[in-house]
Amino acid sequence: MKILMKDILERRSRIAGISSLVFFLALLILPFLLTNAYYLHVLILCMIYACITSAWNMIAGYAGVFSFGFQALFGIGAYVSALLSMRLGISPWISMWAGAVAAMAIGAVVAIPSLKLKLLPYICIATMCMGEIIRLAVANFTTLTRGEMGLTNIPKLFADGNRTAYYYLAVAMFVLILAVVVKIVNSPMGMSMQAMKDSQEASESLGINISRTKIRIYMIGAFMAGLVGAFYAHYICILTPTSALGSSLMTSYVAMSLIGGIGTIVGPVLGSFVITIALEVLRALADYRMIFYALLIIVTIIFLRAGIWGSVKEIFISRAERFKNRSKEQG
Amino acid sequence: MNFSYWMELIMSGVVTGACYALIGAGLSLIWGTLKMVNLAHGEFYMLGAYILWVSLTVGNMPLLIAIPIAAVSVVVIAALLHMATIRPLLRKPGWDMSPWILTLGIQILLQNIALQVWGELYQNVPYFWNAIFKPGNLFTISGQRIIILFGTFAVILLLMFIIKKTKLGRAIIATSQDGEFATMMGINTKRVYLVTYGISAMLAAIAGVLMCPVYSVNPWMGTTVQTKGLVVCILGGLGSVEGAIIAGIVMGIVESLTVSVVGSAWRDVAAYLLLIIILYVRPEGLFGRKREG
Repeated sequence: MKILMKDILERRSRIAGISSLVFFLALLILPFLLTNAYYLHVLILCMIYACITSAWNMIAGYAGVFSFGFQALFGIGAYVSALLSMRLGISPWISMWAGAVAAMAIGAVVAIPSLKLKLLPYICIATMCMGEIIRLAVANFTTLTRGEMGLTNIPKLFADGNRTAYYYLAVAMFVLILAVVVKIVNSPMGMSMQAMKDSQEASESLGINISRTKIRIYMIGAFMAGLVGAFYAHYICILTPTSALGSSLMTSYVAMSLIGGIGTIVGPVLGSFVITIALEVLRALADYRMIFYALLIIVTIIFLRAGIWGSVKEIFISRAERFKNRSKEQG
Repeated sequence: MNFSYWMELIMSGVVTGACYALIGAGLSLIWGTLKMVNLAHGEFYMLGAYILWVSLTVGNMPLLIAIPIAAVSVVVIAALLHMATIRPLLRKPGWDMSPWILTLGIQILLQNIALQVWGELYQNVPYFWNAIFKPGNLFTISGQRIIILFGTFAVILLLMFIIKKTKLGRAIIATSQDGEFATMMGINTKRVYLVTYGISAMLAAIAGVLMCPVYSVNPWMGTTVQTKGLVVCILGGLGSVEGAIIAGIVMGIVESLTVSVVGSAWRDVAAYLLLIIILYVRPEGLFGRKREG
C-alpha cells in the first residue's frame, strides 16, 4: 500500500514536472506563432501579474501575512527606477535593481509595525493603510513625481521598444521569480512559514523566530514586487500614482491568487493568466466589461471556494484517496 | 486663529467623524457576528445617496419620504446580496479569506452598475435645511451639519437600544460570542446574520443620505469613506461598536486639524498614520480586548 501511495505521488510529481516544462516551452515558442504584437503585449501583462501575484501568494498564502498594501511596493520599484533613469540618466538596466532594493527597504519598514498584529483583518487593514500612505505621498510630492500628471517618456530597456525582446525578458523574470518562490516554499524557511500560518503560538513554541521569518519573507517578496514594478515602468513608459500604486492593482492580485487557488504554486499563475486574458476578451463588452469582471470573481469564489487549481487538486486528492481505499479493500 | 476658528474646525471634524462612526459601527457589527470584513460597505453608502438623489430629483418626492425609501431600498439590496452571495460561503472552509475577494467583487459590481445607470457626472443634492446658526456668537454652523449631528446621534442611540435591550439584540450578542452555541440555544443564526447585515447596510445608507448634500454624489464616493470606516473600526477595536463610534469622532477631529495645519492633500495620510501609530502601541486597538490570533 505504501508503495502504491509513493507511486501515485511520484507519478503526480512527474506529471507536474512534464506539464510545467511544456508550459515554459510553449511560452518560449509562442512569439514565433503569434504575429500580432498585441497578443505578445497581453502575454507580457499576464507574466507581470503572475510575478507579483506569486510573490504576494508566497507571503499571504504560505506565510499567512495578508498584505493589502503590496501594490505600493510594486509602485515604489516602478517610480524609483523611472526617476533614477530619467533624472540622473542612469541606465534602466541598473536602475531596475535600485528600484527593487528600494522596494525591499520599504518592505522591511512596512513589515515591522504589522508584526505584532495577530488577527487577520488588523494586518490587512494596517497594510492597506501603509499602501495608501505611500500612494498619497507619491501623488502629493508633485515636484519630484509630477503627481497625478504622471511620469511620461520613461527610458525604454530596448532602444527600439522591441516587443519580442521585452517578451523574452519577461519570460526570464517570470521563470526566475517562480523558481525562487518554489525554492523558498520547499526550503526549511518555507516549512516554518507554513507552520507559522497554521498556528503562531505553536510554531513559536517549536523555536521558530516569527518576527525574523516574517520580515525576511516580506523583504524577499518586496524585492520581487519592486523588480517587476521597475520592469513595468520601463515597458509601459507611463506612470501615474493610480495606475502603479492604486487599489485596482490590489484587487487584481488578490482576485488572481484566490481565483487561481491561494497557497499553491500553480494557482496564482493560472489566476493571473485567466483573469488578464479574460479582461482583454471582455473589452468587446465595452462599458459592461467591469460588471462582467465582477460577476466572474463573485461566481468563481462561490462555486470554486478553493480557487480553480485548489478545486482541481481536491478532485485529484479525493480520487487518489478512493483508489487507496479500494486497493485496501482488495488487499 | 481665534476661538471661533478652532471651534468651527472641531465642529466640522465631529460632523465628518459622525459619518465615519456610522460606517465603522456597521463594519464592526458585521465583523462581530459574521466574522467577515465587508468591502462592499462603502457601496451601500453610495447607493443610499444615489437613491435619495433619484427620489428627490426624478421622483420629486418630499424629503421625509425620500429618506426612508433610500434606507429601505438599500436594506433590500443588501439582504438580496447577502442571500445570494454571502450565505453560500458563510462559515465554510476558507471563510477567513473568501469574503475579502467576494465583497471586493460586489464592490466592483455595484460601482460599475451605478456608473452605467447614473453616469459619471457628479450630482448635487440640496441642503436639507438651508440655515446658518451662530450659537452665542461663538462660531457658525450650517443647518445641514446640525441635521447630520442629530441624525447620527439618534441612529446610534437607536442601534444601542436595539443591541442592548431587545430580544433581537441579545440574539446578535449571543451569535457574535459563539455562533454554534447560539444555534444550539435555539437562535436562528441564519436570520441573525441576515438581519445584522441589513442593519449595518442601513447605517451606511443613512450616512450616505445625511452626507450627500455636503459632498457630491458619484459612483466612487464610497471607496474613501469605506477605507476610513475600516480604519475607524480597527482603531476602536474590531467588533466593538462603541469603540468605532468614539474612534470615528476622534479621527474626524484629527483630520480637520490636519487640513488646517498641513493642508488638505495630507488629510487621509494623517488618518492612516494615526491608525499605524496606535496599532504599534496597542495592537488590539483602542478599546479592543486582547484576543487570541
